[in-house]
Amino acid sequence: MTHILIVEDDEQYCTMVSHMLMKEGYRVSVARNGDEGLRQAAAIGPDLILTDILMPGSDGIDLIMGLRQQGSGIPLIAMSGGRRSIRADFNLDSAHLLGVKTTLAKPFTREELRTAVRAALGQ
Amino acid sequence: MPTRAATREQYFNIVERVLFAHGIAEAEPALAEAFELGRRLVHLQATPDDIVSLQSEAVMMLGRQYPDLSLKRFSERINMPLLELTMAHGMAFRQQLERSYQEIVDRERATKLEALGTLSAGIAHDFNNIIGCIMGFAEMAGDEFPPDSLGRTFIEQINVACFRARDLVTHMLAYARKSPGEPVLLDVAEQIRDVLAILTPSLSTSVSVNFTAGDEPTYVKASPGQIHQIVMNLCINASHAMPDGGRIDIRIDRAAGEPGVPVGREGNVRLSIADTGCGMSQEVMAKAFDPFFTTKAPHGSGLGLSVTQGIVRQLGGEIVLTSRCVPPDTGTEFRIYLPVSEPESASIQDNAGETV
Repeated sequence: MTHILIVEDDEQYCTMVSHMLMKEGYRVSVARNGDEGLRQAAAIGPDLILTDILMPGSDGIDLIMGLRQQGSGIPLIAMSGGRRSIRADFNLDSAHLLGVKTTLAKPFTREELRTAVRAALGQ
Repeated sequence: MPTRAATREQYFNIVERVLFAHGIAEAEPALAEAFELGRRLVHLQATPDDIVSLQSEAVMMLGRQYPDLSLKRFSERINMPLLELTMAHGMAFRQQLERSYQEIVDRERATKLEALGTLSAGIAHDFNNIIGCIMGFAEMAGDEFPPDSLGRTFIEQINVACFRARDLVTHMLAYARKSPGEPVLLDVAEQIRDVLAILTPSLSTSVSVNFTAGDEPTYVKASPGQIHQIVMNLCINASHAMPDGGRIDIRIDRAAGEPGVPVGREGNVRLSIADTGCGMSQEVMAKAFDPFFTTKAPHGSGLGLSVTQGIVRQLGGEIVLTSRCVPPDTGTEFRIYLPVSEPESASIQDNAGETV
């Protein structure tokens, strides 16, 4: 079963995305920040990581850079709030620069999530 | 008043030259100097009282130095330099007032926009998370209802509402980010659509807004914030004039102008904002653009229309007002004329810059 790690500090948002993915038949684990995400990724070896960018403490950029340093090949989806807001654009652009090919601007629909997950998994 | 002695001496000299000139034509240079002195007195912070005492001192000095001066000559000429002086002083004083008023208004506007920008950027992230939760859970809740059930329909409506909220955040951010700014070449029609997206949801549901744009391009040189503020101010006023509901018709097209309106080299863009509200009496119309004049005391600042007029004139345009307050056919229309800028000419300049 495809295993997806969600890294998201907003608890309710995390629950919502978890349920969406579980309904699609994925196995889901969650982490609350970048550091925890890195530890979880090492422990469970997920097939895909879906990470928020803006988080207190170590954020999504820290997570992406940490994974790159480890030479990890786990596909990533970066998501950030504020569709077309300066900050969200900036965050998602930074993720792009770090090699993340799939991004999701919050708030997204279930269909947008499905498409992004399939694209990131190369399906 | 600083440099008082020098001013007194200069004014006395002017008065002397006016009084003893052979004919009015010869007095002209001295009168022009009086006018110039009047303007300068504003910068020296002279008050009308200071001008009165300048005049009476000059009269006393005249009496001392020319005891034989004929009363006829005196009475014919003595007020001439004074008139120039007070007229110039009054005009310059008014200009100075308008300038400082405009500075206050600009500063206030910039502060407000900055606050809106900070607020929007600050809440956008959290707000989008919240909308995202509602959207996501609603979509999943929809799975629990059979297709074509009333429950499904309601869930779909929740999602439609979420899309509206999401668009509102986007527009708020766009609005805050765009203004204030340097004048650029922009399509007024497009700017109006942006404003209406933010404005329409905030108006009473009994007020309908109709927007029509002509076929010709409506480009002007302005900052988006300026256009936004013009449209916002006029539409808010229109909605206030219609507490029981009504219609706001916004129309944009190209037009030559009308009496009292300067025509841009390429013609004008005409923006008309008309409501079906209570209208204005002649007295109100006469004062409508005055700063601090309001019919909405204590809530109105009396700045909306005067700021709007200020922006329009800054852009080299003019604003015209017509209103009817006698039932049954009441309403107010503002027509704004802005000089057209052609996008073609701008792109030619850009290309030239690139190829050189």
